Amino acid sequence: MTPAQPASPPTAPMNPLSAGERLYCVALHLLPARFRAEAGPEMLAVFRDWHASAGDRPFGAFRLWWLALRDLASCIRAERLRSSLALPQLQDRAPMIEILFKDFRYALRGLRRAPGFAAIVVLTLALGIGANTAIFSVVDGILLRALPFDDPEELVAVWADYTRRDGPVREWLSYPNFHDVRQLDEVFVEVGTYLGLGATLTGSGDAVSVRGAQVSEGMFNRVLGVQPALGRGFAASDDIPDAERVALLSWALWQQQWHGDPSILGEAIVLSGEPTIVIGIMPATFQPPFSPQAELWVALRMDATQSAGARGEARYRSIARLQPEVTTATAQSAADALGSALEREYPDANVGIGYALRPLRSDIVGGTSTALWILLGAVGFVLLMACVNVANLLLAQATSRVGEIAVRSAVGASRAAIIRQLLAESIVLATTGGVLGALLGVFGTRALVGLAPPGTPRLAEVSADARVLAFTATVTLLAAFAFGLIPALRASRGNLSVALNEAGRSADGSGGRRLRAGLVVVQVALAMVLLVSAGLLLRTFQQMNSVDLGFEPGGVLALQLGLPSGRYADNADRVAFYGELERRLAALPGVDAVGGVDTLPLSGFDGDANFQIEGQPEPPRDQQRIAWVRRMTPGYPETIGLRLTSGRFFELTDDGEAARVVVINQTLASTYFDGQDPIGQRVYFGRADDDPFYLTIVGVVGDIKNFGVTQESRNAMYFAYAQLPTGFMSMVLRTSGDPSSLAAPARAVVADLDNLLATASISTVDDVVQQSLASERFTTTLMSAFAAVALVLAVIGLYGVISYAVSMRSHEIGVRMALGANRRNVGRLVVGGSVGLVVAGVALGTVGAWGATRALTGLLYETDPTDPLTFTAVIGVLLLAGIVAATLPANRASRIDPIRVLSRD
Amino acid sequence: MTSNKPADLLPLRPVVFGILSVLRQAPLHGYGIMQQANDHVGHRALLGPGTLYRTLKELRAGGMIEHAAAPGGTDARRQYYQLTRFGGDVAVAEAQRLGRLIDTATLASQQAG
Repeated sequence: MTPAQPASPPTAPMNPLSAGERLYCVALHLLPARFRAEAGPEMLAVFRDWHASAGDRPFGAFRLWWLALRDLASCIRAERLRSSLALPQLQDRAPMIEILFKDFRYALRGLRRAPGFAAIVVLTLALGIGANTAIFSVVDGILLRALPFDDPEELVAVWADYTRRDGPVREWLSYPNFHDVRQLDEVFVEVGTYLGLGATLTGSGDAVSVRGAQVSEGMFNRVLGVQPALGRGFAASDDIPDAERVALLSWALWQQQWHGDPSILGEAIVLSGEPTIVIGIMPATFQPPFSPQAELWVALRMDATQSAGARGEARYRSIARLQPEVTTATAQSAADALGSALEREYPDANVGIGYALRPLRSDIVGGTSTALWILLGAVGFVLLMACVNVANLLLAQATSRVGEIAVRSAVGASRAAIIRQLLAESIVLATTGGVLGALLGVFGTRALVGLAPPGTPRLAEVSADARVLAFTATVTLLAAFAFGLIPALRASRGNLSVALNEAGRSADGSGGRRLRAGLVVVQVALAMVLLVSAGLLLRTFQQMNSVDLGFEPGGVLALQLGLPSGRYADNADRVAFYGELERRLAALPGVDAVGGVDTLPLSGFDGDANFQIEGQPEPPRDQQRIAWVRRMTPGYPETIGLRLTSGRFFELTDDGEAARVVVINQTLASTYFDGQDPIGQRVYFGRADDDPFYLTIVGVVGDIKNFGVTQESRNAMYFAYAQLPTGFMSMVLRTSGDPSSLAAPARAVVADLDNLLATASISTVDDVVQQSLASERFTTTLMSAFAAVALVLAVIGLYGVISYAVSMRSHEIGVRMALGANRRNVGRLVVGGSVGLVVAGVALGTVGAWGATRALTGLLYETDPTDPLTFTAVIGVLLLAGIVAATLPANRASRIDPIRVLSRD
Repeated sequence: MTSNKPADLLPLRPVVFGILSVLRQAPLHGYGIMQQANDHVGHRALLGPGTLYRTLKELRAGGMIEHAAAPGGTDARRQYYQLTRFGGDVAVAEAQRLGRLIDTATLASQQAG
């Protein structure tokens, strides 16, 4: 051997590329990109040296290009072959990141080859993650998260407890009873109270109707611990009867009406005709735990002396802050002692009334919580089904790839490389599903907030929560990861030669088949529970919608109005105003009837009174006769469609001068005038020995649903508006056309009559009725949506398993056909397999639904939780789903050509 | 390619043996290897830049060669390669195998002759 001489390159400095070298550069682009990035520069360097030295030989350039291109071609062929087989790189010491990058690229390529599979997995994951994020965000915002106040666990709602009088456990307080409980400063830091306020704001453009509350002085600063963002809060001197009226504005109202101009502070605004000084602006984030839609708050201006006679008037809702070391139980015993003392001191008003303290959070959300927990449970089922589906799809997918994996293994891919790559596919699927699911979760949460019934507590605090998203994403991704790993491990362990020989036929063990069938059975069972729940809620909703309301809401428009007490101080003014309004509205074209009532049925407002019947002994004080009271004009019964049972309705002559009259409802008549004719009898308010207020019964009307379509009928009375006027009225207009088309002309009539008056709200009575069913509709809609998703997931699951079984059993089917089975037999065999799975799922699901629907009992109305019709219908739907899911695979199976299948052997 | 015993890797492809033999003499850059290996093997069209690079990569992955510092006075931008101890053993083992093969062939032709 000759001594080694480093062959010194002829061109030492690197000159700019020559034309030939540039050509070689272009040719290098035929190499796979990754190999080119790694090897290109060095190959070019070698070629340049070679190119430079080739010039001196005969035919040098020609020979060089011939050799170089031949070399390049063989290199390209080898590298392309390597990437198409997804061989592991020959060196194991390549940086991990590079290997992973490559795995993901192959994963993407693999999924592009099976877009249907990829789309189903991604959609399933997205549905599971998205729906769960949305519902859990709502549950978290409303039920779980602490109230947004300092030390929220110290806040309690203070109610009057009327249970000993057969009344509600949560009744509002009278001002004197509030004032007394406020004195318990050994247990309470402060007790605050409030009263709803609807007012007309004038003086800054058009008259606008604003919602708010009258608030006692300590409510914001000492009870809730909230300070205004600008200006000052209420002071003790603002909350006395003769003080100048002062108001705090919500941030939104300030922006909307005054465009955030701070010079409004200290200025007077006109609220329902009364000048009111703006003293502060509450922070933008402030949401009082009561009347969430309030736009402003005025000081209550009450004291105990002024309201001394009003101990029986329950109008105030109260919230207290406990002293730091005091528990609710301790405070409750102090309040109990006070209640007993007040009963002795004021037997007339307070007998049978106690105080009830409840933690504020559960008090606010109490009514909403059952439905939300149930929806959370339901959506949890959807998540479970999504996981099962993904598992099933990945299992089937991996098994069908045993052959492919065996080929890779045979050409040198290590087990680790195969597992890594299958996992990469799972991760690509999971990540795509996760991102879509996150988007769905964010938009779904917004949609839910929009869909939620008005008056849902704490709705403003609901937002798609990152923790929730992280949780659901983790759960689903773990599922994808786990179920990607199991088949990966199993597939890569397989016996190569067996797999290669039998690829695509029976490589799947019976254990795997049973596992997947079991998963589908579970899935059908879960779908059944959800479908039954949705079915029961739908039945309930249907029952509620077909309840006889006792009036005819169709074709009626309602306008709510409030006369400011300043300008309409006298009863005569109010009667004159509403009389004139009624006449003008009746004159509008298309209006068939007009009337007025102080409170629309089903509008959510209550109002009752204690009454006595002349000639019947007065009951003991703690067993009062209570009736809902309504005031109406003579035109109201015809307009709203009340049904007269006996006697008469009011007439225009039943005015302030005439004898006082009353119309009672059927329930009251049958409860207290059993067998007698109530017409002509008298009822009275107050005490017989103390100049009571008598009214003569002139008519009996059918019962109507006043406070909820599912509520039992209660005693009710109607007064003649002209005899007992009030400032707040709802005018109702009946038309044979579209009632909402009357809104604009009716509003114009109001403005024409008094342009300082704002119409608080205009809606059709149909809408009012539907509004009262809003929370039922919310629950039913969501449950139905979840059930639909569950059904789709179950069909996908069934389809996956059946279709896979058909491809695995094509050999067996071929044999059967060769032995004389016809297409119909084969189709029946496949559909029968699917129906068999459904039957097993239904059996399991019936047991599950039987138990699970008990949780729904509180939400059902005139529907049995084991309603046979619902169960039967759901079973029918699932069997149909089983047949539908099997149709395509059955069709494919019946087209199997026995000759081709058998010739594969 | 990660076997620890040189004998497991035999027989070597002519290109591999050519490169290992060239590098047994001294560290060298890509073009130098290509030039000398082609001369060495006596088949002048055996190695092009692509095949060279792929084989170098394979040998490096197999632990037979490694990158080397460019000797002083040469172009530092060129990548130099040198034999590892294992690579040297593999080259020797292959040379011995070929030697025995030649002895056998020679003996056979003498007996035939």
